[in-house]
Amino acid sequence: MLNHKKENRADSVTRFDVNSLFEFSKVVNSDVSLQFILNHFILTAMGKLLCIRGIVILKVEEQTFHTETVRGFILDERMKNIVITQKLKSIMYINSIKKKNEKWVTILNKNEIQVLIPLIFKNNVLGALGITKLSRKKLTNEEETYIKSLSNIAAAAIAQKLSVDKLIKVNRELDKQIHQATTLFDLGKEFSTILNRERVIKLFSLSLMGQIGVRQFAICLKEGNEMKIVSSRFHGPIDTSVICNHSEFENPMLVSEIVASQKLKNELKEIGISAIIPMKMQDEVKGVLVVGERIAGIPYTQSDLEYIYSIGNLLLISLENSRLFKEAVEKQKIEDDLLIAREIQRGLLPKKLPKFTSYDLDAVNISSKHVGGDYYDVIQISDDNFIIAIADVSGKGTPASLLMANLQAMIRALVPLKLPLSELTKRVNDLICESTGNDRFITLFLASVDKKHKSLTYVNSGHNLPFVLRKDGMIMRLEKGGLLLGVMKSTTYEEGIMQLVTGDVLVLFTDGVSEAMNPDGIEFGEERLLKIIKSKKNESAEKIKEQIISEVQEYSGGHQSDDITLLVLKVC
Amino acid sequence: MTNFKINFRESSNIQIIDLKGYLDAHTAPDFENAIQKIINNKQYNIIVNCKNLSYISSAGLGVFMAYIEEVRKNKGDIKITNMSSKIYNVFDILGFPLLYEIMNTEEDALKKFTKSV
Repeated sequence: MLNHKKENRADSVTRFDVNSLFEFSKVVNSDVSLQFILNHFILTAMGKLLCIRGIVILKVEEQTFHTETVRGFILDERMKNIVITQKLKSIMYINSIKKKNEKWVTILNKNEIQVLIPLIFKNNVLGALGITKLSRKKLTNEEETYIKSLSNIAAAAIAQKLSVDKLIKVNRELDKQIHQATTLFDLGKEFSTILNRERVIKLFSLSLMGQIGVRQFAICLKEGNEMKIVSSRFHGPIDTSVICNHSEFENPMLVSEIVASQKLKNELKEIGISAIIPMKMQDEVKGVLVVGERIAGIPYTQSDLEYIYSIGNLLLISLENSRLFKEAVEKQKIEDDLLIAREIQRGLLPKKLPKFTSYDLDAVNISSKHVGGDYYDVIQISDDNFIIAIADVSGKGTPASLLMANLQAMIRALVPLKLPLSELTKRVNDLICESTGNDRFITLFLASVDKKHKSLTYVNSGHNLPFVLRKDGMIMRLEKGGLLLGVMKSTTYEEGIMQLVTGDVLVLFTDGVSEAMNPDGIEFGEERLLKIIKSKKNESAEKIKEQIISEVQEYSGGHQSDDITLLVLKVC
Repeated sequence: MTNFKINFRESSNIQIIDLKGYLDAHTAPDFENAIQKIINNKQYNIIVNCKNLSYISSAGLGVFMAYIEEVRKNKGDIKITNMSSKIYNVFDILGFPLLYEIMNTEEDALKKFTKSV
C-alpha cells in the first residue's frame, strides 16, 4: 500500500516534473506568435491533466472574454464572446459556483467546461483556461500546483506577446502617420509650384489613391454658386445633387454613419460611395470629395478621413492659386496690350509739329490712363493753309481711345478734300453717328488758318470754348459751330471766322485742363487759365504751354484724373 | 533636376520597368506617363522592379492604383519586385500587399507570368 502510493507519487513527479515546465517556458518565450503560445499552452495543459476538452479565453475588455482557441469540442456560438461577472482569482469549479443562473455559468455548463484556471500576470487577469477532465474529477493537489505554474508561465509569455504586438501596432500606426505627414508636406511643396489646374487635380488624385488605397472617387467643386463634378473615377454617371447639396456634409462622414436620411444613404451606397469629405475654405464648403471602397474593403479610420480632408483643402488652395495666377497672367497681358495701344495711340498724334512762318505753335497731350480719348492735330493743306484740331471723346480708357483713333482717321481722310469746315464736320458727325451707339460723344474744335489772308475759320462742335487773347487785350471765345458729334445725324454746323493780328494768342484745351481738381475737389477753372495766358502772352507758344501744364499739375497735386490736351497758337 | 529614372526592358513579352531614385509628387507624373505608354501599346503584363528605388510617396503609389484595374481587365497584371525593406514597409502600411503581388525577385514574377500565360 505504502509502496503503491510511493509509486504513484513518483509517477506524479515525472508527469509534473519541473523540466517540463522549463521546456514549456523555453518554447513560449522564444520568437513565436500569440496563437502558437495559446495552442502550445492548451495542448500541454490537456496532455498533462488528461483533459478531453480545452478552451482559452482572453480578456478584451472588463468582464468580456474572447475565445481564442478550442480543443475537443465544437465551439458554441454563444461561447465566442463571454461575459464573466465573477472575478477570476484562482482555480474555479463551475459546478460549485453559487449563482447558477448567471448566463456565463449556463454557457460553460452547456459546453461542459468544468474548471476555469485564470491567466494572471502582475495581478492582471489576462484570460483563463477552461478544461474538462477525462475523469471529470477535481484536480489533485499536484495537478493544481502544476497547472498554476503552467498558467503563470503562459500568462507571462502572453502578456509580453500582447505588449509587443501592441507596440508593433502602435509603431505601424505611427509609420502610417509619418507617411501621411510626409505626403502632405510633399504635396504642399509640389502644389505650391504647379499652377496648372489639370496637373493639380491629377497629382491630387494619385496621392489620394496611393495613400488611402482607393480607386474610385470623385471631386466636386463649387463654381460660382453651383457644384460641379470636375473629376470622377466612378464607373457610372453621378448625380451631382446626390452628393453636393446636403448640409450634413460639414464634416467628413462615413456613409454607413449617415442617419439623417435613409434614402440618401441608399443612393450613395448605390453609387459605391463609402465616405464624403467636404472641402472648406474660410469655413465655407467649396467642394466635396466622395470616395469609394478601399483595397480589400479595409474600413476608413478617423485618421484616413482627416488625411483626405487635409489634402482636399490643399487641393482647394492650390486650385485657387492657379485661378489667381491665371487671372494675374491675363491681367498682365491686358496691361501689355494697353501699353502697346498707348504706343499706337501716341503714334496717331503728331510726332513733330510742322513749322509755319509767322505762326508759333505748340501742343501737348498727357493721358491719364494707358490710353486716352483726347486728340489734337495740326495738318498742313497747302503753303497757305493749315488745319488745327482738338477733340475730347467721352469716357476714358480703351473705348475712348478706339473712337479717338477713328476720329483721327476720318479727319485725316477728309481734310485733303478741302471741304468747307462746316461740311467736313457734318460728314464726320454723320460717320460717328453711324458707327457708334448713343452713349458715345465727341467734342471737336476744328480751325483752318489762312496765312495769306491772316484769317481763321472754325467750327466748334460742343468743345470747351478756346480762348483768344488779342493783341489789344480783348478776350474772345470761339463758340460758333453746333452740336457735339455723335448726338444726331444730319445736323448742320455753322462756321465762325475771325481776322488774326500779330500778337494774338489762341489757346485750345480739353476739360482735363479746366476741370483739373485740387485735393479739396475744387476745379482749376478757366479764370486761372486765362490769368496764365494773360501773364505769359509775350512769351513763346512753348513757354505758355509749359506754364499752363506745370500750374495745372501743381494744382492737382500730381493726381491727374482726366486726359490733358493743350494747343497754343501765337500769331507773330 | 530630379534624381528619378525609369528604364524599360522586355523579357519574353513581359514589360519590365526599372525605377531608380525618388518617386515623389514631383516625379510621379513621369512614372504615370511610363505606365500609360505601356498600356497604350496594349502591353498588360508588367513587372515593376524597385531594386534601385530609394523613396516612394503616396502619389507614386497612386500610379499603381490608377492602372491596376485596367491592366487586370485586360487579363494582365502589375507585379512589383525587388523592394528594399524600407520601400516594402510603405507598401505594407498602406495595405498594398492585399491587392498586388509583391515578389522578392524579378525571376519569380517572370515565372509567375509565364505560368499563367
